[in-house]
Amino acid sequence: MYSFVEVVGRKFLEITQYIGSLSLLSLNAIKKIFKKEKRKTHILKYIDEIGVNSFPLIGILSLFTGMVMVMESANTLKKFGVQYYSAGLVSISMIREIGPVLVALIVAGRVGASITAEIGTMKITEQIDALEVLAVDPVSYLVTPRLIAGIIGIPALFFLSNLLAIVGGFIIGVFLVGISSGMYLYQTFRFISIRDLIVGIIKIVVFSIIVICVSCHQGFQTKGGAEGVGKSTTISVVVSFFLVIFANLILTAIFYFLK
Amino acid sequence: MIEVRNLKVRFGNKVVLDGLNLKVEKGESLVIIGPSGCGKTVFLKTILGLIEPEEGEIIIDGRNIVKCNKNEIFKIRGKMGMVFQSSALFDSLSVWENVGFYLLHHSKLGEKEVKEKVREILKAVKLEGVEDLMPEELSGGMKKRVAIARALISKPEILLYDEPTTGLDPITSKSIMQLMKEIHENFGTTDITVTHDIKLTSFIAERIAVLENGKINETGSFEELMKKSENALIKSFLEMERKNEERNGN
Repeated sequence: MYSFVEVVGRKFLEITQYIGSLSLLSLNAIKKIFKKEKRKTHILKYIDEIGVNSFPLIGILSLFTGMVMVMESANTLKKFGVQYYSAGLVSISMIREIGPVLVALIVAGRVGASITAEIGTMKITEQIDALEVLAVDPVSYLVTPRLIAGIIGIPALFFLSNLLAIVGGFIIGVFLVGISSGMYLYQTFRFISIRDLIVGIIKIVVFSIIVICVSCHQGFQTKGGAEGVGKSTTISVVVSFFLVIFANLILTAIFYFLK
Repeated sequence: MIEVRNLKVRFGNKVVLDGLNLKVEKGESLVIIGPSGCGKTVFLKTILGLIEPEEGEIIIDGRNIVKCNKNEIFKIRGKMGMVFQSSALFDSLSVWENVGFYLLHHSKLGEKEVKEKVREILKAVKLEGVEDLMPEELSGGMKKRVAIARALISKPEILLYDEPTTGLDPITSKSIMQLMKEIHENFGTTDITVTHDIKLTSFIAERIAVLENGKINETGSFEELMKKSENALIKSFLEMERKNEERNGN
């Protein structure tokens, strides 16, 4: 029977090893972005999978989020006679905070899980070994094209998500709360600065790298049969969620102090 | 051509290969037999550089692959082909893309030329008209032939087979055995096959090595081992062979 200290020590080593191997894979994949290889078709295929196919879900959820934000905030702001500020609240919070996190979490659940399942299945059916035997580096072939596609596709989703949240807020703000359309649009863009946009873009690019690298890494870690693939998929989504929210905290703190 | 010296492979506390020594001559067809879980597949994967040994040397054409870096190992793998137990075809790629995978990534040939080469190699493994099918549309025997074709396309000097007849019906097994023999004779490859299929062993082996307790315990031709070996595994093989012959005789 293990003592408490042994269990904690073992867990600590496991976590350290996990962070180590995830960091190595991520650095390796990022390094290989700059290597000249034939992968245009792959990248386009993955942009379609990661970006284009995620758009309907992210679009609808962003629209609803924008609507809810205006409904919730307008009631309180009405008491002060400044309900039109809810337009600015939607745009600022979507660009700086909710947008990057919302998009990253949806992509982690929808695409990250499927990446882990695909690579995990390849692992247990010896397809990863077959790649190695055919002298093709699995990171170059499986991770780097997805990473490039993620860095292009996920920020594109972020912009569309912001746009649709503003549209959702506009619908509620104008037709339900009674703010004039001109005032709503003026308030929407009044508070947004280039700095906010840069913060949002930096966040979404970092989250994209996290989601893609965690999903691929967990696929490579898969052991056992179908059960192993299921476990890996769950771990991948949980770790992605945790790291995205943790990275958001760190980045927000950095930008807060960089004011 | 391949020399393995004092090879030791360990997974955690479990020592799988423990001081294994083996020499395989150029053009030879060697079959490694042994009970399930004795480390046969681990041995093949170690030769390919997929598993890093704890100790020992694996000399292929004068180069110790244990000391090679990844790029050097990739170069050496160009001389080798592997047929996996599960065939390990890439399920998102069609048959021609699977077979032509090596050429698509390591040659300057265009898609049209690769397709032509794929057609030629599929003809050699007696499988034609399947180029555009997906792996899930193939039977077990067809998958194995595609896997063999994929291993052959780079014109390897060494071919490794991991349990090539496992999971196949007797008729398909027989046709795969014949194909392996033909490939060995026509392409002049050095073959290492790991199996516990007695029929396959007696059909293709020029020499047999018995892997037990992480070591090669005995080597010799099928007839030599059947005559002189005191090894329990060989004796049970002999008994199975005798029963098969009796059944065929009746």
